[in-house]
Amino acid sequence: MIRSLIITLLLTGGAAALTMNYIGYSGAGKEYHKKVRNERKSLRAGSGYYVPYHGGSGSFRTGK
Amino acid sequence: MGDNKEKLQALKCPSCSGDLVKSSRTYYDDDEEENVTVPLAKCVQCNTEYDQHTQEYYEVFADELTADRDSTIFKLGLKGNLKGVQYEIIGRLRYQDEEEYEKATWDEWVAVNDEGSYHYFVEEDGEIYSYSEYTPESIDLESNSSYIEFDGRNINKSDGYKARIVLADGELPWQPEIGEAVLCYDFKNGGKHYTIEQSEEEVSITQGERVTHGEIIEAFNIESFKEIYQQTVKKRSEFQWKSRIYLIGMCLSFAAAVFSCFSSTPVKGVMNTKQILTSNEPVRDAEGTVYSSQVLYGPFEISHGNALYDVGFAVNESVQNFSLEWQSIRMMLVSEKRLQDTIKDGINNPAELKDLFEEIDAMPEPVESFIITGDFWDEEGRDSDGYWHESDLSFSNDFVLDEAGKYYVYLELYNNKIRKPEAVLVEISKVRGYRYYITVFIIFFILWGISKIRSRSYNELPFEMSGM
Repeated sequence: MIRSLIITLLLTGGAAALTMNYIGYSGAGKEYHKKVRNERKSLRAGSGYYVPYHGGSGSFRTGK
Repeated sequence: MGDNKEKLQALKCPSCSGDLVKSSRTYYDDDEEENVTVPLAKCVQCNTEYDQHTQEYYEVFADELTADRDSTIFKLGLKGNLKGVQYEIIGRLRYQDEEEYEKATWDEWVAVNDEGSYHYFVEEDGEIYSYSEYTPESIDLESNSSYIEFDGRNINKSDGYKARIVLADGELPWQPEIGEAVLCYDFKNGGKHYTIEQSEEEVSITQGERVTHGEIIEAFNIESFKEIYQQTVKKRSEFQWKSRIYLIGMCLSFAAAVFSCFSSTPVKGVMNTKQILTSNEPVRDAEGTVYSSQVLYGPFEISHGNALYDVGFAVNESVQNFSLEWQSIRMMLVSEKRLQDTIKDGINNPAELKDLFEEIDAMPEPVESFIITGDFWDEEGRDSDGYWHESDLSFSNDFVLDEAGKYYVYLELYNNKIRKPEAVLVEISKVRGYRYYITVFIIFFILWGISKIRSRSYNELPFEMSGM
C-alpha cells in the first residue's frame, strides 16, 4: 500500500513538474534562435534555404 | 465392481448397443454468422448422435465435467457447527446447465443436521450458499402455463432451466443417475434465495443464504485452509486499498487535465492590423501554377514570457468558401524589437518588408522567433465504397515563448486556386499543458484495473473464491 502511495505521488508530482516546466514543448525565442543559428551555420550558401511547399496536400486516399 | 459394470453398460448405445464415443458436429449458426462446432456423443456402430438434451451425452462427457472435482472446500464426512447447528456432509451432487456446451457446473453438498434434516451447501462460481428445506405458505406449479405462484408471488416459468447430474457421490437421499434431468427455478424473495427443483418424481423447495468461505472454514474447522484463506483475504484487501489509491490518482490527474484544458486566455488583437505584402502571385513550376500571398499581422501584445501558447489556424469560410482545393501555410512569429533591429525604419514599408521576408531564411541571424507550417485541404473521389468527400480546415501548434513583448505574425500562403489572403484565421492563446496529466491518467487507469482485478482474483486456495 505504501508503494502504491509513493507511485501515485511520484506520477502526479512528475506530471505536474513536467507540465509546469514545459518539458517536451517546442521553444520559441532564444531557444529557437540558437537552434536555427546553428543549422544555418552548417549550411552552404544557397543550399538549404526554405523551398515553399506547393505540391498539394490532402488525405491519404489521393496518395499525395 | 458392480458400479463399474453399470457404468460400462451405460456407455452403450440404447438403439444398437454399440459403443458411445465423444464426437462433434459443425453447423452454420445464423445468430453467430459463422460455423460453430458443438460436442456430441455418438454411437460408433449406428452413428446415432446424442446431444446435450440426452442422458447419454452426460454419461460420455461426465469425466470432462468433473475433472476439477477435488477443487472444493468441502469433502465427504466433514463435520462442523455453523450458526449453532451441527452438520455432517454425507453426499455430493454436481449439476451441469443443460443449455451450455462449455462446463457450467455447480456442486450441491448434502448434509444432515443434528435434528436429522437434510441441508445443502451449494458451491457455485466461487460462492457458497447454505440451503435448508422450506415449506412455502402457498405454491401452485400447474394452474398457469406461464408462471408459478409461490408465497403470493409469481415466478416466470421461462426463468427455469434444466440441470443434469454429472456426479453423484456419498449417501444421498435417493439414487441419482448420471444425466438425470432436474428443472430448476432460482429466485430471491425478501432477501432470501430460493430454489425449486422439479424432477419427474418430486418437487423440492429450499431456502438459503450466502455464507463466506471464512465462515465455512471456521464452522468445519478446516485447518488446512485457515492460513491460506487469511493470507488470500489479506492480499485481496491490500489490492483493494491499492485500487482506491490509484482511483484517487486517476481523479486528480483527470481534474488537472480538465482544468488545464479549459484554462486558456486568448491574446487580443492578433488580426487587428494587417499588411498584405503580396496577393495571389502566380508561381509556376513543373507541376503547374500555384498562387502565393504574404500577409503581416500585428503588432500585438503578448503579455507573459516563459509561458505556453497555442496558435491555431482555420479557414474563415465567411470570407471565402473552401472547396476541392488545398492551401499550404507557413507562419512566423516575429518580435517587433527584432524586426526593427533588422529593417530599421522599413517596418512600415510593405516593399521593404516583402524583400525582408523573401530573404528571411537566408539570414545568418534568425529574425523570426518561431515557425509553424501546415495545410488545409478539401478533396473528393470514388473508391470501392463509393463516393467520399474529406477535408481538414484547421490545425494548431503549441510553443513556449520565453519573452513577453510586441509581436507580428507573418503568413506565407500557397494555394492551388486564387484565394483571399484574409480568409485564414489566426488565434493565439496562452494555455496550460495537459498531455502529461492525460498520460498519467492512463497509467493510473491501468494500475487501478490491475489492482481491482487482483483484489477479486488473488487466490492461494485450491478452489475458486469470489468476494471475501
